Amino acid sequence: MKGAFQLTRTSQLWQLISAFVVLIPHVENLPVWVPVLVIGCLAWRYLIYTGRTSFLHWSIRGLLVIVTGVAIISSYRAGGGISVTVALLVAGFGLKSLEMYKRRDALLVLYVGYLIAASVFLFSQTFGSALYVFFSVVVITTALLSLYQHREYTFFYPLRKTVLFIAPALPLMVVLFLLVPRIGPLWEIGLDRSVARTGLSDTLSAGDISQLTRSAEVSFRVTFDDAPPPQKDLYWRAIVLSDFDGRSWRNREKATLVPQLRVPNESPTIRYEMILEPTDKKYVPALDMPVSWPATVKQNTDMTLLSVTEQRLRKQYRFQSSTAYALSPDHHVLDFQRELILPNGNDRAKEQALSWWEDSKNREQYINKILAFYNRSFIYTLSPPRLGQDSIDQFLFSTQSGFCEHFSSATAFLLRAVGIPARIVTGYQGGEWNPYERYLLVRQYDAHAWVEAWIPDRGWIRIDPTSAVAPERVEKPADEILQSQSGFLSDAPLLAFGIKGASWLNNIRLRMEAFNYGWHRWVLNYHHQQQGLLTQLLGQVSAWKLALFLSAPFILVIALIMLVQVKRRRVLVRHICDSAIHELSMHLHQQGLSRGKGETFRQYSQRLADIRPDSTMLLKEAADLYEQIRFQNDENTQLRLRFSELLKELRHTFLQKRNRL
Amino acid sequence: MVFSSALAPLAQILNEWAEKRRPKGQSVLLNQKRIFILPTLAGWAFLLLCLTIFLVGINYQNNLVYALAFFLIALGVLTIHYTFLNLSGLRVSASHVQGCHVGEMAEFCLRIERENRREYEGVSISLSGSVTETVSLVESDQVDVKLFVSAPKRGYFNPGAVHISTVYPFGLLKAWSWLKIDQEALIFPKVIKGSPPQLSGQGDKGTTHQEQGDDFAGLVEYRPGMPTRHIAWKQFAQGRGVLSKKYAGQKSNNIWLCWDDWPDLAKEHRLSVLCYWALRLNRQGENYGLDMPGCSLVPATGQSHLHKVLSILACYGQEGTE
Repeated sequence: MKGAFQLTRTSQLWQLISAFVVLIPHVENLPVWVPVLVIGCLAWRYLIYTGRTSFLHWSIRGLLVIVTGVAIISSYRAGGGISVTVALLVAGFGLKSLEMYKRRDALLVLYVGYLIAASVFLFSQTFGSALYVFFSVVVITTALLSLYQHREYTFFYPLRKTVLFIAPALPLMVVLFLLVPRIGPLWEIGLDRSVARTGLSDTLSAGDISQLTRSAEVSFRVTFDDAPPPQKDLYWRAIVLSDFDGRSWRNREKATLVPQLRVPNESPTIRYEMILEPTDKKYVPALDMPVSWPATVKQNTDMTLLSVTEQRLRKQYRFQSSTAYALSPDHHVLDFQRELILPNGNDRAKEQALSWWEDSKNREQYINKILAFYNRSFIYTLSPPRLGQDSIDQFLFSTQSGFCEHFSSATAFLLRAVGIPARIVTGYQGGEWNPYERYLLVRQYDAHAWVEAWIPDRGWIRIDPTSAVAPERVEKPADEILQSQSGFLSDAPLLAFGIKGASWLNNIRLRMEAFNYGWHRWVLNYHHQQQGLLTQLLGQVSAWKLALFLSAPFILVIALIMLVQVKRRRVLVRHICDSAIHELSMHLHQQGLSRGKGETFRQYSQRLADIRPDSTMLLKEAADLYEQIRFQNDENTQLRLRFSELLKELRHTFLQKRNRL
Repeated sequence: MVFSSALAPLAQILNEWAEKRRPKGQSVLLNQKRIFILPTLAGWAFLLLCLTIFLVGINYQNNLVYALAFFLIALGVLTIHYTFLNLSGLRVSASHVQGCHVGEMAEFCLRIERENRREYEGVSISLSGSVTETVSLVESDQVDVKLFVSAPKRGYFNPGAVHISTVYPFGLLKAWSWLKIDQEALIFPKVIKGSPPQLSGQGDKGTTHQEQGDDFAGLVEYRPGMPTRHIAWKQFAQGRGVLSKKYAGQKSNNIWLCWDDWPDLAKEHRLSVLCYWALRLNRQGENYGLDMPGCSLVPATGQSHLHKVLSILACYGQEGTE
C-alpha cells in the first residue's frame, strides 16, 4: 500500500457518507443481516479513518467475502431474481469499502454505488424515492470529485464544486429523457416473485373478494377522453367464471363459441386510457363492454381481455368501450350447455327456484323475484359467517348475510336451476374520481363480482344482485359504502383514517393522488406518452429530426458553459494612476488618440503634445508626476490627487477641441 | 510482439506528427490546438456503467432508471469540456533552472499561470524522468513547480518536452499536452578527487595552504562568493553585519589549474579532477585560474568566477557538437 496515491481525509469521509447514503433505501428490501454487515464494515472503516484501528488482514477479508456470498445465495434459495443481485452488490460494496485506501478501490466502490442507487428504482418508483436517489447520486459524484482533489479543502468544498458541475447536466438529462426512443425489453427478466401481489384470481369462492377489500393498493388508473360515464356504469370486466363445483367458481376450459357483439349505432363510444399496475397475472380489466383494444392483448370468447405474458411491469392500454350492447343475442340456449351445469346438493335452493319459476310469466320476472327476495332480509357485510357443505342453501335460508361473491354465486345457481344460462363475472366496480387531475383511481377494494345471464333475443345481460341488497354499493364509490365495515382497509390504517377523517384531510389526499397520477403518467409511464408527445412537438418524427433535437440542447449547454468560463478573464489590478490614464485614453479613442500597446506614458504624452502644442506643459508635468509616483514609489496622496486633476484638465482641453471642430 | 512491430511505422508517423504540433518557446499558452483529450480506463468503465444502467432501464421498462442513465451520460459528455477547461487557458513558462554535476538531479522550475479567473485543480506536470507534480490554482494566479531530472552527461542538458495533464474533475477523461519549453541546464562534470595541481604557477611561489601565515588586513563587507571561513563571526554577533576578514598577500597567490597537470588521466576523468580542485580552491578562497587547450581564464575568486570555470569544464570539447 505504500507509495500508492492515498486519499485525502475529506475524500475518505465523502466515500463513507456516500456508501451510507446508498445503503439506506435498501434496508427494507434485503435480509436484515446484510445492511447490518455493511454498516459494520463502514463503522470499521470509520474507525480506521479516525485512527483507532487498522485495516484487516487480507485473509480475514477473504474469509468474510466467501462467508457473505454463501450466506446470501443460500438465504435466497427460493429464487429472488433481482433481490439476490442487489443483495450481492450491496454486500460486496460494504466489504470493498473495508479496504478502501487507494483511488482504484474507491472508484470501484463509487461505481457500484451508482448501480445500487439505480437498483432502488426496481423496488420503488415513488417521487420520494426519485428525490432520494438524486440526492445519493449527488453525494456519490461528490465523493468521485473529491478523489481527484489533491489538497485538503473544507468539507463542503467538493459538494459545492459538484453541484456546479452537475447543474448543466440536468437539462440535458430532461432532453434525453424526452427524446431518446424507448425500445421493448431485450430479454425476459426474472422479476422478484417473493413479493405477493393482491388482485383477482382465477377462482372465486366465498371470502375471496372480501379479502381484497382489506387492501388499498392501486389496481389501475383511467383517464377518459370525454366525460366519465356515471358511477353505476363503471363495471370493469376482468374474468368470467363458468364452472361451478358446488363451492367455488372457476374457468376450466375455453369456450369455442365465437361471441357476437352488437353495439347500437346511437350509443356513444367511451375512449379511455388505463395504467394497469403489475398483477403477475394475465387478465386486463376493461369497461363493460370493450369494443377496441391494442394489439398487445387478446380477446377471449367471453369478451374478457388477456395480455400475452404475465404483467410484471406497469402497463398502459388504450381502449374503447360501449356501455350499451347486446352480446350473442342470436344464439340458441343449447349453445350454452356449460353455463347450465348444476352440481349435486343444495336441494332446497333448487326447489325454491322451481317454485318461483312456476309463479313467473317470463325470465325477467323470475330474476326480479330473486332480487326482491334478497331485498327483503339480507345483510351486506364484509365479514359474513362461515358456510358449510350446502353453501348456497345455507346462505339463502339461514345466514342471509354476505358479500358480492355470495350474492352472485347464489344468483347464478338459482338461474341455472331453472335453465337460464348464467355465469359469474369478476372485476372492479366504480372507482374514485380525482377532480384535480380528472382521472379515475380504482383500488383493490373496488373488486366486485356480478352475474351474467343469457336471455333469448337479449343475449347476455348483467345482473348485479349486490345492488338489490345494497344499491349504494353501485351508485357510490366503495370507500364511502364500506368504511363502516370492520374488515375494510384493515391493511391500510392510514388511508382508512384519511377516508373516515376530515374533509380537508381527504382533499390533501386527493391532491397528493393527483400529483402521483401525473408522476405515473408522465414519468413512470412516459414510454407510452412519448410517441404522441413527440408528434405533437416535432410534427412527423424522423431519425434526423430526432438527432437534431437531441444534439441542439447539448451544443447550447456546452456553448453556454464555454462562454461563461472563457468570460472569466483575470481581473487586472491597475494602479490608480494607470486607471486614470486608461480613462483618458478611452475618451480620446474617437479622435484616434488612444494610447498604443506598449507605449509608455511619456511617449504617449509626447505624441499628444505634438498634436496639441498648447498643452505641452500640462502633459510634461503629468509625465513627470507619473514617473515620480510609479517608479520612485512616492505614494503621496497629494501627488496622486494632482495627477488625476491634471488628467481631467487634459481631457477637457482635448474634448473641447473636438467640439470646436 | 508481432502486432507492436507491425504498428511501429504507424506509431512513428504519429510521433512525428505530434512532434510537429508541439508548441515551442519560453512560454506557452494552452489552447484547443494544443490539448489532446481521451477517455481514461476509469472513463471507459464509467461508460460501461452507463450502458449497464441503460440496459436495466430497457429491460425493466423503468423510466426512472432511464433517467439516471441519461443523467450519467450527460454528465460524462459535459466532463469532456470540464476536463478540457481544466487545462486550457494555462500558461506554462520556464522560470529558472539549476545546473548540477553529472549524476545529480538538475532542477527545472516551471511557472504555471492562469490567464483567467477559472479554478484549476489537479494539474499534473512532469518531465521525462522526473516525478509528477500536481498543482492547483484556486486562490493564487500562478504557481512554480520544481521538477528534478537526473543529469546524464555534462554540457547543456535539455530535459525534453514538458508533459502537462489532468483528469479532473471526475477522472473520466485525460487531457494532456506536450510542451517544448526552452530551458537548458548546464551540467558540470562529476566531481572526482584527484592529486593536487602542480604548483609551478607563473610568478608567485606558494602553497595552497598559505593564507594562515598571512597578516590580517582589515574587514570588508561580505559579498556572496567570499569564503565562509573568512566571515568575521565575532563582529556579526556584535550586530555589525556580515563582514569578511581580509588578509594581506591573499591576492598574490595565483594558482593555475592546467589541463596538462594530469597527463595520465583520461579526458572525462581529468575534467572531473579539475572540477574538484576548482570547487575546493573556491571554498578556500584562493585565487585560481584555468588553463585549457584553446581557452584560459585569468586567476580570480568568487562565485561568478567559479561558474565561468565550471562552464568551461562542462562544455569542453562539446562546442562543435552543440
